Amino acid sequence: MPPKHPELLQRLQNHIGELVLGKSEQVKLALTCLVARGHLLLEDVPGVGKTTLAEGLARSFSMSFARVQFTADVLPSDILGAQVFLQAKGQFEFRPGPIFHQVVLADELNRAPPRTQSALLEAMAQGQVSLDSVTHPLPQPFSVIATQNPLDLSGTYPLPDSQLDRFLLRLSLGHLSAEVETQLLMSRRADPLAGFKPIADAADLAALQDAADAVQVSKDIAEYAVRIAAATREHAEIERGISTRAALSLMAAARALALWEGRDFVTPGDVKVVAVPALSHRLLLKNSSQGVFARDEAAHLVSELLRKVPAPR
Amino acid sequence: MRLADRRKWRLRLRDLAAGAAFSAVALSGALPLPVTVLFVISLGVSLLGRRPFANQRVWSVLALLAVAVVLFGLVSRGALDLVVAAVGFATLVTAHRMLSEPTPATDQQVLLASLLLMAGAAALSGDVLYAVCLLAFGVFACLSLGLSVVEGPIERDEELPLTPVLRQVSIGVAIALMGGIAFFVLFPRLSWNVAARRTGAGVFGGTTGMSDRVRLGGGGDIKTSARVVLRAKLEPAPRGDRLDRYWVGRHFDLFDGREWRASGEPGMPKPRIMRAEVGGILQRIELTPAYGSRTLVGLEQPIYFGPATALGNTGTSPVQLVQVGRDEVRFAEEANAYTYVVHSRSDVPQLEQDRAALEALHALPPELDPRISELAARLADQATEAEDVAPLFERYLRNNLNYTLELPGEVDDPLTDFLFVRKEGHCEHFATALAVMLRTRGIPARVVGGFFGGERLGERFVVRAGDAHAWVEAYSPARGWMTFDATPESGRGSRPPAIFSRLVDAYERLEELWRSRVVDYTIIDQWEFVRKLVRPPAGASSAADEPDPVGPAGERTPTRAILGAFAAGLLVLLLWRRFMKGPSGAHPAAGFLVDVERKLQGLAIQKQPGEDLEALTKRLQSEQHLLAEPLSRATRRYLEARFGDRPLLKEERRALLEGLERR
Repeated sequence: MPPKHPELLQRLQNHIGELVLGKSEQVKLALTCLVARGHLLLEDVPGVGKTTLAEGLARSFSMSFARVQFTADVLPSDILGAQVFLQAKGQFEFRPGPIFHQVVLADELNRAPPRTQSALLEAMAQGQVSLDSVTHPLPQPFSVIATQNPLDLSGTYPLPDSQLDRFLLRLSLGHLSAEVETQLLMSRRADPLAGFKPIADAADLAALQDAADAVQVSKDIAEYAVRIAAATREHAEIERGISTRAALSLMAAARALALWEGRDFVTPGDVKVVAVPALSHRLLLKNSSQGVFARDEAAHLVSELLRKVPAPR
Repeated sequence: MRLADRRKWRLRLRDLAAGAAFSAVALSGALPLPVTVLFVISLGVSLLGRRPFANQRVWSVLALLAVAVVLFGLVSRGALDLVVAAVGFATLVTAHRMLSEPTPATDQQVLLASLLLMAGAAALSGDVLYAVCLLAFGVFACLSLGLSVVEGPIERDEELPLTPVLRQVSIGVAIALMGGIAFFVLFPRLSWNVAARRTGAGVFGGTTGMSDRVRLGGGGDIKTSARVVLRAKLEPAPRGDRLDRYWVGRHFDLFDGREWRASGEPGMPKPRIMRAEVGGILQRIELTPAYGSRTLVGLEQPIYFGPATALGNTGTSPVQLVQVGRDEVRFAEEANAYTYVVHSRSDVPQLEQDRAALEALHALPPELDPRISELAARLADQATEAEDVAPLFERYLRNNLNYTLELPGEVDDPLTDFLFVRKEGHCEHFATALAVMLRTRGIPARVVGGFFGGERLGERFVVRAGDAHAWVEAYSPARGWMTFDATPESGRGSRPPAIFSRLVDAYERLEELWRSRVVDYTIIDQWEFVRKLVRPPAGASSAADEPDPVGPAGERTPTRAILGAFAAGLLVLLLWRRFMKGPSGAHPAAGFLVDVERKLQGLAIQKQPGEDLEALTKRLQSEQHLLAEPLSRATRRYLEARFGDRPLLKEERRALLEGLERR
């Protein structure tokens, strides 16, 4: 384990932290999500810095970035691209859509109709786009950062479970504390992203991702994760517990988190830290309410399970 | 284990505890049969998981009350002992609670009622089986309570790792049992014997080794019975493991050709027996419930029967002795078991004063086969006195007839059949033949029923039901009554199957231990025990008949005691280390975790609920605690060893722990 990984991650956290003030934990988890080759779902009210965080993540690595604003009339071709007939050449040519970037910010994803949402599925799952029986690989590393507003649900299409399951972590930023907000009001003038410089590149991210893959998971930790998964499946208030993909995601996130402390092994603490953001959006509760309350309740249930399921020690 | 399983096991263990308590009562043999049957049925129903009384609270309680009225009505009429009635009622309450709704409160009621049963059983019997039942009750009840303790706070249907919990509970139970035994041995107390009753013959019933008549013919399985009917402590104690002597019970003097009877008026009470002067071998005899008769026995020849005690369902009481017929001594009252003292002397001639009685011993059955007198005449030749004639007959019978226990069918003249047709029989045939042949020669002879044998078990000798035997006494005017036995030696003692007799022996040894260490163990024995530990016994000569390779017996005992104490200490230490290390499946690094946590406790660093070492370290780091730095190093190393496959070395471990000490 080269010592540079924790150092690089710390630098990135601090760097993005200048952009998104007072949210160092969320920044850390967002970076962890990227390192784990995952897609990130940011759920919160408008104006708390979701987009800034997403763009900051992309720019820090000097990766190509595209932002797609989802609305009810966005079509799959608007995202993926389309065959365009070129008169001069007399043939069709593929015009790649905004998805062909390394970091794609899907803003207000739940406003898009289901077929547009599902157009993202293949891209997110396999890192490729199939159009007219031609498969186009996406640039690597590839991550989707989606946002949605959990309160304003009118005219939205709630994300289907299959779509939700594709997101490695779900975060909400929440409002700033009074001090941080005061400081922000005093200091911020222009668009902070304007002068934002990258401090790493895609190769660094790829190196981090490879390092995260190399982190080992001992049998006790795997059993712990399985116990947590089983607990969600057997819980009286949970209609449907987490899938095996979710358990895999949990482990992937925990492995990436281990890098922050320069470890090449996962501890129960890693699992506990990532469990809530990795699992809560995948649970279907029995008294299923939509939106922010369901998420809060699910997050609460997961932390309750964490207290109950005995961790290896 | 899921909730349903936990509940099932909790109830099963509870029922088993109640069953153990019930067994303790039932084995005393005092419980009325209907109560026993009701409880057994309830136990079966409960073990099957059915609770028929769950919704029938009022009716079932009314039924229980009715039974209580009946039981105590019987007590007031004197038909039932109060203790037995109370125990019977407690049994039914236990059964009722078992079949009611299975809540933790019901569990406690069942266990409480079972505890009452155990207490009642202690009053009814102090048998070794009671100890076994008590142990079983304790173990089952503790495990059941352990499960209900786990179930209390966690009512949700969740998978729980119960094995470690139960393992800890089991260790606790074992330690409690050992502590209980230690307390029992060391704490000054009165003997249990003060209030104890002896159990009845119990589920096996008594044997019928001693009957009023000896009827010839038929086989029997009594010879194969290894059950102990008599225990005796002899003074002076004979050497050797086998006694092989005659224990005289009854005399039979009338023979009608088919069976022997005793003359005299049976059941006529006479004052206490006192024959000649006291001396010879003193025997402290205990007749077990398996004996099943009221006749006293003693080594030949019993001359004085001393004070006797009857152990009945209502306790211990002195019992009158009565003489029945000419020589038989009986207890005046029926009881489960008896103890008494008897003195025997074989060196004093037993001269008969009663001429008429002697004359009666010449009587021959009316239809005696003439071949018998011919045979006797031929064998006796010129000899006339008992001491000369009897050995000749003995030799003839032993050499020409075989011993067997397999005699199927009835015959009209069993004696002729034995002597001339089948030429085989058992001890009664041999004794009859010898007695009749002696009588044909004008020598007074009678058949004696009793036992032959005696095996050493501990400091007592035991006689088994299979040792029952019959032999002959013949009278010689010069030397009094003399004992003759025509039965081949192989047919005299018992012949129990090897496995069964070994089982019985093991049980006897246990019983002996239970008697000497528990029931009859008093403050005096405690004092002796402690004194022996501290210094050698004063009378070292008691061990003199054992070979002594070390040196004078006096020097040996303290060495032994010290070695024993050392070994015991070592054992405790090993057990302690074994159990304090945690369960055997633990990771090798777990010991380090325990050390670190202990150290943190010593440094008064409080963990928050649900916080593990990793979280604690993070918290201390964010609080910039003084110990944060060394602790994070230790935690990191622990986590590496635990989850990262980098084992912790001993020196490293020590250094990390020392780092925690230096602030």
